[in-house]
Amino acid sequence: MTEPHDQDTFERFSELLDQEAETSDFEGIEEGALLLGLRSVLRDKSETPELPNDFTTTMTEAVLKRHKESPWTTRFLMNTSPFLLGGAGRGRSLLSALGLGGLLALTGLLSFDALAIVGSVLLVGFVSWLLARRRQDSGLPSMPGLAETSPFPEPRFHQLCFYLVPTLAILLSGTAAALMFQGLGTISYTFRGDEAGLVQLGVFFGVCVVLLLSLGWKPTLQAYRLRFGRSFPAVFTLNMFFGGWFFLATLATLGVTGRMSVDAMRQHSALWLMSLVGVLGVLSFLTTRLSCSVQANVSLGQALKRSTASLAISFLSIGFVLNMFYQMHLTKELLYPKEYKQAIDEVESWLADQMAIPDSKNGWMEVKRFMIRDDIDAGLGDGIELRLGALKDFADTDLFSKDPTTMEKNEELLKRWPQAKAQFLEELPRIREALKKPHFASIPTEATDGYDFATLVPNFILFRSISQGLALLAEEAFLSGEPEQAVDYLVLGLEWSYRANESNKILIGLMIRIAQLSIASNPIEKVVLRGNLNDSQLESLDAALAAAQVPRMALHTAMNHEIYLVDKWIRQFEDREPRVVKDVFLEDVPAFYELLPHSYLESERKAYLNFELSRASTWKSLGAPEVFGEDEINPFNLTSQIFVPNTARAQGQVMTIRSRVDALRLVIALERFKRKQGAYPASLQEIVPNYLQELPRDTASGLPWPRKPGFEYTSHGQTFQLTSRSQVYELVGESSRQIYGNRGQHIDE
Amino acid sequence: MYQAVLSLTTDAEHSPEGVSSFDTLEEIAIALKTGDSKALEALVSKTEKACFHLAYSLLRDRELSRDALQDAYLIVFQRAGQLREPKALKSWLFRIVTHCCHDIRKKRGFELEADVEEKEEAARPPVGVKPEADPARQVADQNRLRQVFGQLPEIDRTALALREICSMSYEEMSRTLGVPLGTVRSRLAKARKRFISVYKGEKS
Repeated sequence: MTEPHDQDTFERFSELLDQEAETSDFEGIEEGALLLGLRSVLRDKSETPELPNDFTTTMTEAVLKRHKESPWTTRFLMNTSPFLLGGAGRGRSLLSALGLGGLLALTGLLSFDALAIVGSVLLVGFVSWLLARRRQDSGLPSMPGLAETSPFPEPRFHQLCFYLVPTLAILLSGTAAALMFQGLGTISYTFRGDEAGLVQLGVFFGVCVVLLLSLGWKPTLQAYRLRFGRSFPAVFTLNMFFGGWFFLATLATLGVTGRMSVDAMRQHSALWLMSLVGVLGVLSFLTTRLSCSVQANVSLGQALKRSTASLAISFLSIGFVLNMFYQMHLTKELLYPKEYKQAIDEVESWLADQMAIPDSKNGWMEVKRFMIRDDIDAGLGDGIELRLGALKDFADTDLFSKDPTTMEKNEELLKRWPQAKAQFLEELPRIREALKKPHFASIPTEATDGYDFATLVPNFILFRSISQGLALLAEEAFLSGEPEQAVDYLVLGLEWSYRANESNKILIGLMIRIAQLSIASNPIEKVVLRGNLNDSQLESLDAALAAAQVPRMALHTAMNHEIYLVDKWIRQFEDREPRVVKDVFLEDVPAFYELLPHSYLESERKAYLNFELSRASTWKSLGAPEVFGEDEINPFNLTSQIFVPNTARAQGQVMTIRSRVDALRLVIALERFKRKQGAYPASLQEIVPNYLQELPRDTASGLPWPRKPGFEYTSHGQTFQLTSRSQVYELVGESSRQIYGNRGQHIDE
Repeated sequence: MYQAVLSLTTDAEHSPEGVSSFDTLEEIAIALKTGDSKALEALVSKTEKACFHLAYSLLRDRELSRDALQDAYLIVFQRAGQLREPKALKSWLFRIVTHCCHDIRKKRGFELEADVEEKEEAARPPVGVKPEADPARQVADQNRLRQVFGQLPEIDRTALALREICSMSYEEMSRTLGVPLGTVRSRLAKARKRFISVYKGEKS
């Protein structure tokens, strides 16, 4: 027998074995026989015991039982690792994930934010695990020859772009959508101050756009995941974490915005939003179903085709949702047609009256050329505003105070006062002449539509400066022992306060009038109680105050004019002739508005009218001002919200000034009573009707008009105190308790 | 990205209703990644005999072989996600079985060796008896062959088992063992050489 100890012979035996050679090939060779014998023994199943019939079942049950009893970490890794790591890199992916987690954990030690990130990552992992338990997509298809042959099989730049470019495009689209809505929300926020929900709404829509577009792009991303993820486990793991993050951010954003939007909106608006979320959910689901079929033999070209199809579905979805949003947001019904017509008719009738005033009877024409910049520039006047401009520096200063601190503060102003006073006195005759005319209308008669913004923007600073000048002159005269002169200036100031705004009926005109009246009436109480005025002077002051009093319906009238004007402006938008808006913003109308459909503008107009007219009764009754809140205006009507003024504060100012004027009239009546009777009356009823026709109600009270109480009055013969209590004062920055009379400290100073 | 998360709840392509719904081991491998217990049952059903034979060849004990199989199936079930290539399930499973057998041998090695030694001692031919002329017949004592096989190092036993019992090709062995093709060749050759040497009582 041959003894094949050399290597060549042994290798020949091995080859024969591997070729499953016949026994005869090994004849005479002991080693060959041994190896053949070993094979025979190993393959011989005759000695292997038979398995029982229920082996499969019992074995499966035993394995599953042991699986259930295994540590949760084992089960977590089992379920999560194929999902998180895609089965891509075996140990390498796991290490990558652990490395990233470790990095995050390390940063977690450094700041709370980072800690939150780590917590969120863990949360993502937990959610992943929960999802993986239900249904897993870990069955990555085979890609023969790709990941097997090389760790970096196809790291081609264009394939990377294939993934990155659309991803960036999707994110940018979502950002643009978010910014668009957020921008509109911010505009609204700036003007309104209490509708921040729209900002969140913007973010919400941005996220939705990203969500839908991403779902549409899913086949491509999936192809990327399969193609690159298997080769770059670290990149893929990172990718998955970003994915998890995005998913978490989406959920969080939806939750937060949903909550805030519900808080900020009307109930049915919130229902709209929830409906939209529902529709988006369904569309997302359908898009996913239609786009996730790239499972095996991934071809990027094929994936691109599928992506194109599903992106089209996404865009259709987005279009559908946007259209749905648009249709839902439209305000199609005018809720108060009768009130609307009354408001328009009232303003147009007033306009017709204004335009019928001849120039010869119009006091405005006396001062116009000195006040209007256009006229000054045209050489028609020299512009008293330039000379009286200095008076604005004296606003809100107690110029003649004897308080040392205030005197020190006013030192510089007191030095400038003589010159400012001299300039003002030069202009005063012109103002006196203008006020003698029966009318004071700034509505240009030649205008075809009468109410034009150029004439509605009063020179607020100039008007106020004149009031300030008159008040200072009155106080100076009073301190100089010239009560008659003081009363003259006071009466003129009161007259100027309301005559100057006679033709300016919109809300801003009313606010200017109130500011002027506030300045003009400021010294009256002091002059009356300490000026030793005669009855005639007191009577003329009372008459001037009565004439200057802001009418109870002034706010309602002003809002009617607002409605008329805004209605007219939006109609100009609809007619593509937004001249007024151009005047307001002093620039061209944004092209964005040119693109708005007629239905949108009409919806905005009706939304605005519905909102304003719904509050008409509040303006009439002058009850507690309603702060703009729920159930007010459709939050989707962004344009109309820009025009909605802060009427709560305006109403507060109207109520405050009315209360103040009435209180001053009571003070005058009580002073006149004392002059005649030697003491103040025990009750206010005693001054009616000889000194006052009827006792005024305290307008500042938050109760509606018919139920408003009178002023609180207390008297001890030679002293008295009038008190007005209301939370409304706080709306305009004053104390909730206003005190008049010679028991008040400010009078005794 | 995150759509992978979403797809978990939407992809319903691999949702077997029963064992019979799996035609191939590849399908079973894919389903196993989802933690499907039906897939596990199908895997056991399709591979139990081969695996048991492999385990029994290595352990020569019915109960220990069952234990090894249980360990192996549990590992496969829990780590199926790590299996990149579904087609490699069979070879992966065999490799795990051999590992499990090895672990059991390590844990209970002494008693096992003693048992086998005891059982086979009686059947061992007296030293110095010349084998008969026909090699196949001369190696009639199969117990002796099994004993020698059991004395081989783990690495040799695995290589021989995969090759001889599981009839794997070199490529399959390469994939299963995770080593290059050339290494498979040399490892198998060394295993055979060592077997002969041990059998002949020579020092390796």
